[in-house]
Amino acid sequence: MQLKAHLVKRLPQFTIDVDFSCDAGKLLAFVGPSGAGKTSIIRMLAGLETPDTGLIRHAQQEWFDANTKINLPPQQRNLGYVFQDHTLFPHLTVEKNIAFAANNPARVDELLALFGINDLRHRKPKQISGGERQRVALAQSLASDPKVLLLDEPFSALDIITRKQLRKELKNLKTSLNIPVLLVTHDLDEAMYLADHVLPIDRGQIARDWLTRMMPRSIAEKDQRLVAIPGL
Amino acid sequence: MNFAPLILSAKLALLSTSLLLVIAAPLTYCLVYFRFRGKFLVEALVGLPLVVPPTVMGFYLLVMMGPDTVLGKGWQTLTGRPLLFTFAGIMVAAMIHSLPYAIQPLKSAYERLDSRLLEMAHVLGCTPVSAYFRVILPNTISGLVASAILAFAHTMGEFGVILMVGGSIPGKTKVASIAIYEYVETMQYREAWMLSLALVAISYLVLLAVNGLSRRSEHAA
Repeated sequence: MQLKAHLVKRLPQFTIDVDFSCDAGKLLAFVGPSGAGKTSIIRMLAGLETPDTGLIRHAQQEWFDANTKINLPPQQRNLGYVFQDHTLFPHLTVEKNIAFAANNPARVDELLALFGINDLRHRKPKQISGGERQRVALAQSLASDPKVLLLDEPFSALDIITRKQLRKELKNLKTSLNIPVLLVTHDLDEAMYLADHVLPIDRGQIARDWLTRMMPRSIAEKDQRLVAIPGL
Repeated sequence: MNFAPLILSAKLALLSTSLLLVIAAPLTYCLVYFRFRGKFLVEALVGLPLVVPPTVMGFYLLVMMGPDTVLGKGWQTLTGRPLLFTFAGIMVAAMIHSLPYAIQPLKSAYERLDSRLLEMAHVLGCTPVSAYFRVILPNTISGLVASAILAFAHTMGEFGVILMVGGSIPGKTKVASIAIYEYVETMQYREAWMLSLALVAISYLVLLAVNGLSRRSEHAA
């Protein structure tokens, strides 16, 4: 099951124009400086923003097609989405946050066990730590057995120890999920550690120049994860 | 002391506030979360009772609720009773006049709500209606309570509009504020004092109770 997209959207400062695909069981990371348009890309995939033109296709289903005016609402895309700053429903307990989108109660228990948060099931989001909230957010995003997982700077608000631990957990998880996982991050090390493919983005475009400023060109040229970048 | 006007005011405030919230909540939801042509016109229209004098408002409602109008005729056909100079008539008038008082606190509460919660609900499969009941409502209870307080307090003291569309029929449309006015007109100051004091006490107690509820619901969230 592959996710394929070509997205074009004019923003006040620049135009986003990217073309990419991600296979099931793989992780594609969008990496670049803040304000590069990475979050807008992931929001377009989720259906929270609409591209000016382009195409989003998952497996054989078109989620967005500017030519045929197809634009599935977020509800019909069956996505997992972890928002920046681990947003959770503040009025619900950990258990109910995960159950919000779950198709069956057994799945909630399974996810509570998988992420090691069984003890927190009756607590509200404000009663748990940042790392715990992030685990809950990940569990919640997987509760409906999504077709695609979108992660927007999932570890940015965490301390370095928790961040490293969660990165490791996500790396282990991504293969077993067997769905396309798309990650937005400004941290190149994080992207290189987690991703099967890395797409550097700056001002809405594939940013070859930004990448060669961040790592030696000789290393970048040899890295298999970056070969798809034209001109590198 | 005659308690009938006071009881009538409380009944009017309670019923009209309950019904008003049912109307104000989805209306505010549309005004805050949906984009549509002429939205600014609707926003100005619902805020109109704040700036139009109650007598002017009452006059237009009197004209609109007349037996020969669509509203008056429709009501008569449905219920077999006229709308003017009845309890139902003053309830409709009170609801229209209190609409902006119910909408303003709700609007602020909806606007303060983190928009990502709503986006998250949509991504997780919620329709706009289920997102309202599962996410917006539980997180904006204090706004709803504030709306209820303002609408209730405003209706308890309602005078001009009710006098125009309901007159002063004892047990039907003679609410506390109209009774106080008549007591003063007829120089029955003792009764005016007593009824005014009772109105202040009831309003104060309601405010205390609802504020307490609001604090409890915020604490629980």
